[in-house]
Amino acid sequence: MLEAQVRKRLREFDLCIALRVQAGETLAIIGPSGAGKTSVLGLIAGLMAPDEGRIVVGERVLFDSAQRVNLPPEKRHLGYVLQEYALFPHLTVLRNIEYGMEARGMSRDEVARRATETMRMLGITHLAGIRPGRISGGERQRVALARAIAASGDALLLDEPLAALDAQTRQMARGDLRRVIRSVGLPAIFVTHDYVDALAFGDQICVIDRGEVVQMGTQEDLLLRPKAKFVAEFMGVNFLHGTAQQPEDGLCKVLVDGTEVSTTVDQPGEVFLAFSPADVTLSLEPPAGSARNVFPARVTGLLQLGGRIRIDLDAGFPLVAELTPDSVARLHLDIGSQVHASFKATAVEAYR
Amino acid sequence: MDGQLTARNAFLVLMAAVFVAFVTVPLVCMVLNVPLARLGRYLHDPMVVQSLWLTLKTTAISVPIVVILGSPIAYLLARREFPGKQVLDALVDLPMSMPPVVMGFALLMTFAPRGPIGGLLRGMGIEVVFTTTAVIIAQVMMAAPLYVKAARTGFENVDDSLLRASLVLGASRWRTFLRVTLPLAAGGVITGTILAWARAAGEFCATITFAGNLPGVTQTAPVAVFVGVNRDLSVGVTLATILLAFSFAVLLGARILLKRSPR
Repeated sequence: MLEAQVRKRLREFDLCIALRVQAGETLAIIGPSGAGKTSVLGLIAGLMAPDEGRIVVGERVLFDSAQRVNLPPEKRHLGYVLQEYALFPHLTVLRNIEYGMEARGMSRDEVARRATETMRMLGITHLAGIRPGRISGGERQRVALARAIAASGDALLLDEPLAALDAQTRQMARGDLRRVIRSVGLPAIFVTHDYVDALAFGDQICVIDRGEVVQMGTQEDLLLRPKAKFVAEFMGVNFLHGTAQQPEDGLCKVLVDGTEVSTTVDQPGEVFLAFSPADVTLSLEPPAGSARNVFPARVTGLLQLGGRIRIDLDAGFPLVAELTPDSVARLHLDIGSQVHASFKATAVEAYR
Repeated sequence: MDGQLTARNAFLVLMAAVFVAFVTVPLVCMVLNVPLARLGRYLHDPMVVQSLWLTLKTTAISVPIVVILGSPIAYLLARREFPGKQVLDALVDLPMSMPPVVMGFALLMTFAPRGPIGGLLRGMGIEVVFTTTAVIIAQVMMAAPLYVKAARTGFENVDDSLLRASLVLGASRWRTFLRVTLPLAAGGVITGTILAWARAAGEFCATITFAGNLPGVTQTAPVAVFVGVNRDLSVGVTLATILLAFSFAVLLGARILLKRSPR
C-alpha cells in the first residue's frame, strides 16, 4: 500500500494532497497542465521535499516531517516512468533496463535474469542492443516501463506514459500498459491529462487543479456525480447546475439557465445534473421518440477521439454528444449545423 | 531566387577562402623555410629535443590539474543557480581576456620571494619563480578558462530528467555523475581537455615572464622557438613546424573521435 499526505508550497500555489493506493490498484491523477500532477510524483519519489506530511510505502516510511525522516530518491525503491521517458541516450535498451538493478546492487545473474524476463514480458527482446534514439515512441514507452519495473520497486509511478505517442500507437499501448500494471501487482499512480486514460487506468480517480484535490472517487462517482463543472469537463461528461421544481408524476423539471430539463429528481431545490455524452442523440428532424428532453442546438465543435467523435453543442446551455464517425457522416454534421439534441430523463443523474 | 542564393553562396565561399588563406599562407611560408637537407641534424639539436620534452612533461602535469580544478567549477556554472554566479563566470574568463604578459607579471608578483605567497614558500625552502613549477602554474592559469568553457557546455547539454531518472532508479548522486552526467558531457570535457592542452603547449608570454628561459628547466617549445629564431632561424622553424604538425594532428584527431562517439 502507498499512502501519502503531503503539503508543499509551490511557486504559484500550495500543493496539498492526501491519497492511498492499495497493492494492485491504480490511482489516476488527472488535471490540467500546471495543476501540480508531476509534483505529486516528485514528492513521493523524493525529488522534492514536502514542507510537511508523511509518505509510507508498505511498512517503509519514506518521508515524515514529524519524525524528520526524508529518504533520498535512490533509497525509496519506487518504479518511476518519467515524462517523455528519460531513457539514457548513451546506453543500449538492455543497459537502460539493467541500470536500476545494478544501482540497487543485485547480483550479475539476477540482473541478467530479470532483464531477460522483463524484456520478454514487454516484447522488446529484439531491441536489447539498440540505443533509445533509434527506436519508435511506442517501443520507448515499453523500454521505460521495463526499466521501471525491472528494478522491482515497491510502487509504480507513471507520469503521462502515453502522452508522447501518436493516437494510433496510444490505443494499442493502452491495452498493453494496463495488462502490465495489473500483472506487477504494485500500488500504481498514473498521472494524465487525458480522461480516457484516467478512465482506462484508474480504479480511483483523483482530479486536481492548482494543487488541490477537486474530487476523488471511483469512475462511477466521477462520471455520474461530478462535484464541479471542472471535473465534469475533465471526465468528458455533461454537467448542469440548476434548481429543481416540485415533482409531478415522478418527473421533475429542473431550471438550468432558463431552460427546463426533465429529470427524475424527487425533491425540489438546488441540484447538479450529470449525464454521459453517449446518452445524447442527435437528429435533423425533431425526434418522435420517448426522450423527454429535446433541444434545438447548434454544433460548435467536433473532435475525433479514438473510434468516436465528440460534438460540442450550444443548446442554450453547453452540451456534449458522442457519436460514431459513421453517424456524423450520415447527418452531414459540421460546425454550425442545426440539430435536435435529445436525451431521456432517466439518463440524467441528479444529485445534491 | 536561385541566382540570389548562388550569389550569396559565392560570397560565403569567397570569405571562407580569404579566411583559410589568412591562416594557411603564413604557416606554409614558414614550413617552406624548413631546412629539409639538414633536417636530421636539427631534429637532434639539443634545444629542439629538450624544449619539446619539457613541453610534453609540463603539459602532462598542467592539463590534468586544469581538468581536476576546472571540472567542479564547470559543473557548478552549468547546473546550479547561486548568488554571484555572474561574478564567478566573469572571473573564470578573466585570464583569457587579459594580455598573457599581465598574467605572467601578476604571477611573478605573487610568487616572487618578496611576494605574499612567494615569501611564505621561501620560508619553507620552496622556490617557484624561474623553475619548472612556474611553467606549470602559468600553463594552468592560461589554459583553465578554455577548459571550463567547453566542459560547462558539455554539462549544460545533459538533460535534467536523465539525472532524475538515475536517482529514482536507485543510483546515488556520485554514481549518477559517473554513469550519466560524465558520459553525456564527455564531448565537452574532451574538447575542453584538448583545447586546454593546445593552449598550455603553446603558452609563451606568461611563461617567459614568470618562469624565464632556462634550457631544460623553463624553456618550453614556444619559448625555444622565440629564442631559437634569434640564434639560428632553422632551429626555430623546425621546432615551430613540429609544434604545428602536432597541434593540427591533435585537433583533427579529436574532431574525428568526437564525431564517431555515439550519443
